[in-house]
Amino acid sequence: MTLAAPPRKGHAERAWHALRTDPWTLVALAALAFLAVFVVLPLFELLRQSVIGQESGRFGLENFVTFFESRYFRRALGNSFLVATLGTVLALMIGLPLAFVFARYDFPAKRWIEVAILMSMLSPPFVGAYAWILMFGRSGLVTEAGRSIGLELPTIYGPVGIAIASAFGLYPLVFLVVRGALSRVSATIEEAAASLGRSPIYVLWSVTLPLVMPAVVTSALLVFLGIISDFGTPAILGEGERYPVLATLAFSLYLSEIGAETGMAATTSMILVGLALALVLVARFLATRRLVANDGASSRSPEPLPARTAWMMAAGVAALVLIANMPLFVVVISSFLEVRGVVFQPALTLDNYTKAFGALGNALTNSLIYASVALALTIVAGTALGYYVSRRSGPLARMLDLLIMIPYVVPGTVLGIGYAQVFNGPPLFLTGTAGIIAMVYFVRKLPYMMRASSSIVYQIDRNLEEASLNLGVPPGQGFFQIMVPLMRPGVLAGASIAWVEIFNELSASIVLYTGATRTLPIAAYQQSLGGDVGMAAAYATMLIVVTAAALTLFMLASRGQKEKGLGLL
Amino acid sequence: MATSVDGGISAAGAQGPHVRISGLAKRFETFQALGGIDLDIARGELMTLLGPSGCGKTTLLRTVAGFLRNDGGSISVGGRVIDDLAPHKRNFGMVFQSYAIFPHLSVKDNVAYGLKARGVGGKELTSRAMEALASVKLEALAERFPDAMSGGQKQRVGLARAMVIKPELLLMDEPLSNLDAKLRIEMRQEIRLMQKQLGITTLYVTHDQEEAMAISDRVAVMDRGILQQVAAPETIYDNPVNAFVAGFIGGCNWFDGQIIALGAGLGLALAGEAPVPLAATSGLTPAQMVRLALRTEDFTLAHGPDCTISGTVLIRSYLGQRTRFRLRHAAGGEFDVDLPSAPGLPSEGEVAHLGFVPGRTRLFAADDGRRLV
Repeated sequence: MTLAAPPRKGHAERAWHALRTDPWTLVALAALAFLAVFVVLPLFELLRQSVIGQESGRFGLENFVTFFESRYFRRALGNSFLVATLGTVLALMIGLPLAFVFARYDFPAKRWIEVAILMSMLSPPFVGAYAWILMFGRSGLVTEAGRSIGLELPTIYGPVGIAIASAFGLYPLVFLVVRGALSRVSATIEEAAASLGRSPIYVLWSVTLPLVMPAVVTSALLVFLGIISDFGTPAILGEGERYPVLATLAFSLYLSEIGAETGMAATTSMILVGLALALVLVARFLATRRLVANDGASSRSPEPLPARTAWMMAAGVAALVLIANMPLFVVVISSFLEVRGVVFQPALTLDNYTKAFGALGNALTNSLIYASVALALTIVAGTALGYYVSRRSGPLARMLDLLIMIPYVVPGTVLGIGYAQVFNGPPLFLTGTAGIIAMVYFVRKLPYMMRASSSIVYQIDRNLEEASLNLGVPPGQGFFQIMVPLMRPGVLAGASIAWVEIFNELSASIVLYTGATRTLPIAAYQQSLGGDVGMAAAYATMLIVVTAAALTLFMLASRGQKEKGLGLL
Repeated sequence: MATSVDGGISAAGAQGPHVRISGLAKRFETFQALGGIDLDIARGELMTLLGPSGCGKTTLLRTVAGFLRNDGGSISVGGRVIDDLAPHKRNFGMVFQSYAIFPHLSVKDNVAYGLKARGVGGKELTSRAMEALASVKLEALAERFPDAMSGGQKQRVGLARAMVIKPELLLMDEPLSNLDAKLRIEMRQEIRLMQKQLGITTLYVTHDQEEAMAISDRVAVMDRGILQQVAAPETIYDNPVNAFVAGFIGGCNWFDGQIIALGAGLGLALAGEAPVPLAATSGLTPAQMVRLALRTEDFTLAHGPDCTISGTVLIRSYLGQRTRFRLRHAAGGEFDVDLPSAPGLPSEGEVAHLGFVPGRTRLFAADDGRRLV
């Protein structure tokens, strides 16, 4: 008997079948429509404006020519590069030794030092910048102390200050990525090298370092991306237009007092996006090559040290992390100090908080409400879409995966400007509303939540859902009975990080807020920018407290996750 | 090549087969995973899908379960076509290679999961779950959580969970592959006993031919998305329909040869050996190139004219009742022979003279591997 090839079903029939048998298809289509409006449309509008000449109104590259012919614009581009390069080098100098020590050795208080490291990543970057001003600014604590003994310190305003403040906020990225890679280097590879008669230092240099090099480069690119995307730090330490970078330039062009230059703002935004995109493509290229050679042999776990050495190492690491977290301490302590003029006095008081709360208006309640709404949306959508992209294949899943990640690459200020341009008229009039701020929070943190959720889903045995189906439970019900409980710890951990980032968000909301929709980070930013130093410290401390509380929750949630099996063999 | 030989009479019962798979096709992008499968399974029968990895056996099972959608052909159970039936409406039990025990539920709740979906509650729920656990000897662990259990225990839970819903059809996807050798043999006997007692129609996937032989009523051997042979284990072993089945089941020594005219009839000429007359010659033509398949037990010690093949002993291993020889053939190549352990067997370095056990000379076409005699 010979077998004729069976007739194949048509595309339409298959699509209809997918829709009918898989309710997730509907979720995915809704998400796609949403992303088209809230991600693609604003960016497309900016792209459109960037290629319409601001002077001539004609289609073409006129704006880009203007950009590259202007010394001022070129300087912003150069500054962005300079600051990001300096900051990246500094972040590597702090992050790499920490990563190595954490991956290779066990010592007391390791977990708590790790919390402190995460803390400096998650507190809003401009708070760190402000702390540097408190210490080394024109009337900073250290500057004044130096002056009293006749020592004039170099200025913190400008590129070096921005680079330092950024590096202290972003070195944890280097730490996390490189430590992960180091602990995946198979112990046997290093042992093999050692057995061939090489000293530990030589093994580190000739074997380990080349193996983790892609991870080092990836983390460096992420730091670089973080610095060029950041708005708050260069705005505070660059004093706005005195030392412009791309992110602050786009912002000030958009809000320019002498008639907004929306065309040039859009052009600057596009240059920034192009730069960020190039970086991410390089990072992605590196990630697709194997990060670390692992032949499946035992991965490396940290080795315990003799008690004395362990304590010394703990003390050394703690000191380094303490210095990195210094800005936070300075801010918290300053907030309880009396202020005379712009100078802190060595006397404790709650005056700053009295004033801060007096001038708070509804900034705190706004922040809490917007962030809560955005977080709820982020959790629901992030969990669902993370599940969808990791459990379904096909063009729809691939397209969603790509679209959701766009806001991860696009700097917040750029997205904010895009929103302000697109949603300032019918059909979607959102500019100036609370909704637009909650929406931009949501869209910006969705990539993070989706990644967190999909990485959990990847760890859960696919057969569990099939077993549930097979036992007669419909797919939707099975998702809630099987997947939701198993994903919960990981989603909670992801959500607490998302909460911190949403609550502290500044770079997009600064473009979109109005008097009525001011948030706590905006209040803190405004006071830091030549307002009342005491109130600024008080607001910043409030942000730090919310961050610390959420981090504690994160630690508790992620501890639970480790103890629970995820249905793996 | 695409011959499908149905060796079971039992499959055609009075009311027709319990499960009928006809012309089933499945394609993944450019890869044809199933190339038109026809298979009937009788009520209460244990049918095993056996084949190398990537042969399509798991795809076939998952299509029956409803996790994959067939592109062509159809599946019917009890006379009813189920192609469009969602997996959760099929009432099939399934046992997974990865066990797929819900890690956040206790053993009892795992077993009760499918019952709850069927609206069973209260006392009946508990008593049926405990009964199912008792049948796999796990009632003592009912309140435990699965993460601390061994692989064997997890798979017992999986079995109880699949059986308790009284499934129309039991699907088993390499259920024993993650267990160690000893436990595997023990478990397969338990599975077979339980399956026979309950008379539950079962489709069982494995790549382990010994397991397939031991457990099945009939075995369906698959390769490259096509059924090669469907028959009882003995038939598959003794009468493989093509070179693939012969080589996959039991393992063979292969010898290249040519059919020649010998006296009034035909003979087989193996390289480096004297021609042997053939008793059965239908379908053979002189000058035809063939391959001869001989299992290790298809040889005898022979002398003089009975000697049809000889080789130099490279290794002699005593295995108890049998002694295994690895021999080098005069025409090059090595082959394995098992002989009953007895005094006077050839030693290493000696030349062993061997004959074939009558009726075991299976010939296959050299070009397409089809069975000739």
